[in-house]
Amino acid sequence: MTNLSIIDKLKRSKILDLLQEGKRIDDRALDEPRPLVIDTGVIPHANGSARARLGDTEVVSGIKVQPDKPFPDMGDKGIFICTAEILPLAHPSAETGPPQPNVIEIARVVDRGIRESGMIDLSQMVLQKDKSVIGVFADNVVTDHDGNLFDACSYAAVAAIITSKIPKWEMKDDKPVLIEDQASDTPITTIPISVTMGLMGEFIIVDPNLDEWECLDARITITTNSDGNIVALQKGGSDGFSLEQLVKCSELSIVVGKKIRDIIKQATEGSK
Amino acid sequence: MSNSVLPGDKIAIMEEYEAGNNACADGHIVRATVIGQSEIDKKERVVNVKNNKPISIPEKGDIVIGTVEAVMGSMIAVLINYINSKPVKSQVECICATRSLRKKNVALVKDLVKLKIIGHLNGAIHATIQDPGLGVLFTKCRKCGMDVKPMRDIIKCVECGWTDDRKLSSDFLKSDFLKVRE
Amino acid sequence: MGGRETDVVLLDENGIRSDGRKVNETRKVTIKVGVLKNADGSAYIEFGGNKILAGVFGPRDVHPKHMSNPDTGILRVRYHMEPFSVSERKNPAPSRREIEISKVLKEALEPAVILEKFPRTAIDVYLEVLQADGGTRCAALDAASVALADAGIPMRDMVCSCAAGKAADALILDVNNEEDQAGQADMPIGYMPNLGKITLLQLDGVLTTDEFKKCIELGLEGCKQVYEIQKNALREKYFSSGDNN
Repeated sequence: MTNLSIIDKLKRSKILDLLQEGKRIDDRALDEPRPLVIDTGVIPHANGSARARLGDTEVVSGIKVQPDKPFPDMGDKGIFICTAEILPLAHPSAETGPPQPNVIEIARVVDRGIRESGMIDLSQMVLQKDKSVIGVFADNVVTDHDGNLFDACSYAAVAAIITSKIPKWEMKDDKPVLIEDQASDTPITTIPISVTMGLMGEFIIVDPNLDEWECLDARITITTNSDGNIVALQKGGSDGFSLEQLVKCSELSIVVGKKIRDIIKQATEGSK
Repeated sequence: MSNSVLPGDKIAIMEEYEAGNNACADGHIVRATVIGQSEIDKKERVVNVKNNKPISIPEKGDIVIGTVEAVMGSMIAVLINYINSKPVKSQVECICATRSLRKKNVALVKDLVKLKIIGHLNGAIHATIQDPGLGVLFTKCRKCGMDVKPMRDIIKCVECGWTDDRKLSSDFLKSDFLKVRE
Repeated sequence: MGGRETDVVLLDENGIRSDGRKVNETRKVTIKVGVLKNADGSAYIEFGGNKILAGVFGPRDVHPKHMSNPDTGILRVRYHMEPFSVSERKNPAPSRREIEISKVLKEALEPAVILEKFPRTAIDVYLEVLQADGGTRCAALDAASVALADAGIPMRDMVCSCAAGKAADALILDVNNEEDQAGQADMPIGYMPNLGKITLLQLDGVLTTDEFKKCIELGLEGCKQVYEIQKNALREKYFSSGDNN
């Protein structure tokens, strides 16, 4: 914490003082995520889309589905690629130019949660084995940054995927040809939900806002599937967790994850 | 008399009133340049517009709190964090003359200071530190980097006992200016 | 020169266009002001199927420092399309097209923005196309001008924008994506309505000099309609709470 400015240090001590009393700067309980609002179908031209607003963090996710070559060793599976970008209008500190390491980490953590849960049944997305498969691209853009972009991107992407449709292609002369008006629901097997928690002093807080985020000692993102199993993890930040703290985080990720999953299920139900 | 106006709206004609704050002349017409309320000052014969959304650049008379970025022989450069107790993100700096204070260390780099804006000159924002309320709010020991406590008008390190001078504000060590989620 | 070969009927025998509009009618335009929490000013515009977010920061310190000017502030504009905004997924890196549009939009806004009051600072305008449907630069310019006003940046005038063009041998207002692809001309116009200055003008296609004059006149009518929508959006945010007198 030596590289914090005086203002950041004062902020941190104010936040910590409140935590000692069991309070947070935005009046939430320690294990309480911010209100989540999901709107689906916000980009009608995309194959699926959603806007997630987690407190004052906002992400738009758009799904593009198009034929592609399979990964070399995975000729019997469709491909899934997830990206993230903090748009420069999202925060005064956001920069244009090639993605920074923190943004690449966000994209990879969101990607891993969705991929490792097997959310999309990619085996149903093969047009011709080893030659041509269907690719699902989930591009997430952050339009307002108030901390915890991991979860906001993840919720937007998951909701967008649930509501997405896969167009139909048929192979003709070794080339995929689009069959109009034959789109079907994307094959979904489970709904992965990430929950990011921060460590500050000895306190664990769920879904840190930006003021909290900037003075965390460490953080962890745990993704669970619909069965309540852990499918992906990412620890970050410049301090470590004890085993007890990690066990507590895993329990929180299941309890909080279930509530978030219900919100996403409800928001995506009508649009399927 | 006041009117709600948008940029480009006609608010007066030049024959009657001059363009004042947030107004500009377009031939013989005076137009608003910001969203706000136009106010005609009949005595001064000017028309001003009160900006509904002030921008993050301080003006003459504003009280600012900022972080010292550079200390030179006769002045300090300060990055502005608060204008009139409102946090700002414009990252602009002001400069403040320190020669007349007759102190060895008016402020150190990374100190938090409270200043008053004198005005804009030659593309720079000028401020003063010469008032009991103005001066250093937070600082660290120059020798060991630890916390200090005030002793009359000097400071003493709580760890190594080093004593030093600063131009202290009467609000030294008060953090009630801090805004987190308000 | 005609448009590309197509099955689409751009104009039917009753003078109705492929999306049901008359020749002198714009698509539906809605603008919301102050939609972002962090930006100093922001706006969201839906212009037909175009969906564009505009965010403004500034005046603020200039990075990199060498770009700053001791005599005046500088205006920077970035126009950018999201990967999912067009039918084929777009590479997120800026294309030559986006860089050119950023430049012409900057030059369309510069005559309006009063920069000399803020030496050594920058005003940054970020335009993010969430969905593109023909005429994104006009819609982006409309949103940019509203976002600048929302940020409290002094401006000599608002800038409003709409395209006019030619399809099926008729002059049309607000060229949509289909008409752009299959039509004969597309001419985006940016306009300062009170100062009467045209600050954005491009043309793709062929017009006679007589058509050119009529096309500009038609486009300016569209600009003025959009200007009313811009003003209403700003009034709704700033003056609707009863303090309007």
